[in-house]
Amino acid sequence: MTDRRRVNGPVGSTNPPVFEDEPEQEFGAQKGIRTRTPTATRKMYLKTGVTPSASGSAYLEIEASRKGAVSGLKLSCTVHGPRSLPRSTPFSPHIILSTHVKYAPFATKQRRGYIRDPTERDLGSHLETALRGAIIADRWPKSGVDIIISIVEGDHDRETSKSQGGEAWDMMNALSGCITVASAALADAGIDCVDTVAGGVAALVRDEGDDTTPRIVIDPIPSEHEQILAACCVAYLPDRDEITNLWFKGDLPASDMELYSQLVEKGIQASRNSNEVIVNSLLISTREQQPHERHDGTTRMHIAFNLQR
Amino acid sequence: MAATSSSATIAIPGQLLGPASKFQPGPGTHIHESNLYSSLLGLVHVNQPTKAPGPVKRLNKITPAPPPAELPTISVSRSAVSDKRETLPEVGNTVLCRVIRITPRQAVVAILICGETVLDAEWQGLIRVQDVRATEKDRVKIYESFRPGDIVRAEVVSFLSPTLPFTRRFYADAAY
Repeated sequence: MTDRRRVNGPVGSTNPPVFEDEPEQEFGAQKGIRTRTPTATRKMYLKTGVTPSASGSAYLEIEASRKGAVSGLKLSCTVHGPRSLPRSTPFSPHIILSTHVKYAPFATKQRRGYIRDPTERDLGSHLETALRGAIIADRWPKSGVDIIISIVEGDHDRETSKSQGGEAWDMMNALSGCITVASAALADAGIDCVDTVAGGVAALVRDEGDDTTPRIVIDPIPSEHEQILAACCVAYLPDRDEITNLWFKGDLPASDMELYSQLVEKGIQASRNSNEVIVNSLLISTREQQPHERHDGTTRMHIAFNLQR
Repeated sequence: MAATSSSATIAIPGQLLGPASKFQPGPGTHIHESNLYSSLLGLVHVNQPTKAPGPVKRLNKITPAPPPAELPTISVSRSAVSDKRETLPEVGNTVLCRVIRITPRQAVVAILICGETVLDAEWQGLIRVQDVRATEKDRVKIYESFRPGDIVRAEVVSFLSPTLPFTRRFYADAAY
């Protein structure tokens, strides 16, 4: 008689899978070297309207810098609302933002828990500050909006040692991605914004081998540099020329007073790059959703022609 | 910005629409430094003002100066692009709502339809006892007017008050 009350294991014996260790390679080959120019960002893919059940959503992917060892950043953002506030909340004359950033348990090398940890809370509050400057809050009195970002794949290098403090620098890259993806999702949700806010990161790095002066690069990957001295993540409104959130970390050499403003300037440059991606992505998605090409008859002809082929 | 080079009818948040001296701001736009900018992603509409009545034949009485609102209204709407735009009830709107619970002083309702649009979220409203009908206001009893579950057509009479979240004036008789 079989036991029907419990879920039993398979009858036969099973062997747990054993994975081969990754082949040991010489350190120099593992260590990536930045092939981009100091002012080039990685390629980005951004698409809005990916989650049908949400009022607005967006998906952002940043390419991996190298095959294999480094995974790119993959973010999915959903915006729920504007919706009415629960009865317990006091009256609010403007929209109440609540941001949640969560790493998927499998997103990073170090497995994450299901409960939000301080890092994720930190990212959430930074994101809220960045977005609050962009939203026209008094257009939606007595309502709330939830912005939920899940980091499907974190931008972590498997080989980066913890002693380098890579985690903190990776967090900056994640925040910049979060700001960009949330901005696109907010526009998709139809929440009034002053501008499309976008995130950008710049860092002061010292490279391997040369003992020359440190240089400033945008969109840094910690594993590609010997040491990151300082970094800043900027949330920037390009049309307004305003910064809504600035997160600076690290030590700058005291000799150069200009370095700080140069770093912020480069961060703005990085955020302008991601803003271009937002603008193009929004325009493409709007054009796709447009029911009729009323203004331009030729476009429809082109589409028909493509279908025939 | 790159947006200006492409199709002129799509606006993204932060896009310059024109000077505030030439247009009136409509829904989906905002004014910054005397310029009109879009605040939504959507299509731009310019509504020409209704033609002012022709010159009066003979001025025989003193009239107030014509309002300066002769400018075309520019607005950005999402309705053509997406059907998921949530609307907020505004003062003067006619709404359909369901009675959730009643107290001697007011009926709490959930607003289901605002104007022509079905709402995604349930917004809460209040029908105060003095707003149930226009006459014999002091004889109104909430429990004789409503029962929980009734569908009520009402007009929004107030929106922005911390103490009274919404107030509805009872319009038609409760439909069942």
